Amino acid sequence: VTLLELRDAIASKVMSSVEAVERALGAYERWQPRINGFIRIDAQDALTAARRADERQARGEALGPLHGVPLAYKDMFDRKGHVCSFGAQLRQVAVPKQDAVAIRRLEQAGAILIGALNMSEFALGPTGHNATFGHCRNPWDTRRIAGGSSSGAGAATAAGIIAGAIGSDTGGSIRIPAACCGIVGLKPTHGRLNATGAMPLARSLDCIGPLARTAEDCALLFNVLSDESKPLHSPAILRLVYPRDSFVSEVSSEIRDALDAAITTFERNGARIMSSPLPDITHLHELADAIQKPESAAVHRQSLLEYRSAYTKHVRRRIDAGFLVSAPAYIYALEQRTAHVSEFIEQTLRAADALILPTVGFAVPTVDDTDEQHTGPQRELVAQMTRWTRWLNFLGLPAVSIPCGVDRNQMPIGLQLVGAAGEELRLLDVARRFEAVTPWHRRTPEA
Amino acid sequence: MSIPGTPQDSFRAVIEAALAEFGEELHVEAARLERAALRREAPRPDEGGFASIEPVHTERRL
Repeated sequence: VTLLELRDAIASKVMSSVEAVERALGAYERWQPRINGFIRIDAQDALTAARRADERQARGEALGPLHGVPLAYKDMFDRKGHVCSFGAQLRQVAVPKQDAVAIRRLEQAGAILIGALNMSEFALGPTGHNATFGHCRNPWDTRRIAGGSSSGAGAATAAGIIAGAIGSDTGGSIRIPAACCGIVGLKPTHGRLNATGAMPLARSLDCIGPLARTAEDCALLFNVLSDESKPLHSPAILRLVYPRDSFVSEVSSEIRDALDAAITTFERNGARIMSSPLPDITHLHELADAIQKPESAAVHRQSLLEYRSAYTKHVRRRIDAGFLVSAPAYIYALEQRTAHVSEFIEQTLRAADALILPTVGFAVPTVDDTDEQHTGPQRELVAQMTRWTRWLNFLGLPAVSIPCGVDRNQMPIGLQLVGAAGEELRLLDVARRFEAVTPWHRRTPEA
Repeated sequence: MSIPGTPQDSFRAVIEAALAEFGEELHVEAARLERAALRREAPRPDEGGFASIEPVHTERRL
């Protein structure tokens, strides 16, 4: 069931909010032992909130756009009175005194928040491994990763426990789990959504955003989070850039074939496909790294000093290198952004509605193959997971991952749509039009 | 653990702790990050600021 279907069923009294929450809790009971998508479930609080929502509806009060709908959030958003773990051992006693803006907007829109979702420790890691709360696993095949760092948001939404969630993306952390789990994930333009009360990782790159089953569901959540109500829109004839030659040698044949098939689908439905050169994304990735590492080090300075041993070793290692990057190098990297954005808009995106790329360049790997407790090939595979996503955090541009096929193991494949700043609803409309003629977003894993 | 008083102290202490654990590995990684970031110029110079200063003036001033 999509978020919009659930919302409409509650609004039309086909289903009560209490029934919707009970269904979510039932799905949680079935799935949680297998996927470990939640760090905490707030069953009684959610049922109480749902009863109040039903009472308000019965009294004829005005309903918000998410009235009565059970949702959840990556456990890095402050929620008054609830432990906010950041996926870390040392934060298990941290209880915020007020709500993050995103949490407040979801609740003001009528959402029932049923719990806090699993995530990589401090959002550092694209796989969903977590040494403290247990690894999050993919509902399509629990031997495989859900993707991260918004791992629980991807897994729990794909499993149908919730119809949508909010996560964060500093190098791909919304788009990668969306791709691995076969759902839609939007990284908005940098700074577009208010992240007050959300855990910082690297403020020049951090974005918060929605994950859901469909593009329209993501648009609904995006509008709520941005406190706006804007329609999806895109031109009658879509213009899409597909830089196939620039990436084809770097992705597996299954990913390439799925993207080629998606392009054929777009073309058959009237889209114009163009080719442009990609920028030097290896370098843009490097610039993102040179920004993220020192910014993360600054964020964690005091906490690392006090609780160093409570950080997982590979997380400590990731953060520590940032202390030794020189200020001129960091500032140099930051100063490059404007010029690179201009070059990308003028030479790659040009006047197109979206650029099409893979989200992840290979099939969804197993939990064992990406365990960073090991060294060598595991670490290299993990590093490659953000190959197609991290450079866009450097540019600060919006990108959405949508399901576009399956690999030989029937695991989802994600396609990434990239647009100009502020064009989230255009990208989501391109995604909606793709969904209208493809079956991938309707697939669901069996419990 | 007692926390040093100033940000400068705490930066120094946290770097010492990091180096004690990872040693040379951290220097290598930081050098790699810097080399990578500085390996090419931006596509074109920004307008204004230092980019607008003629090289000859810069040299004289220096």
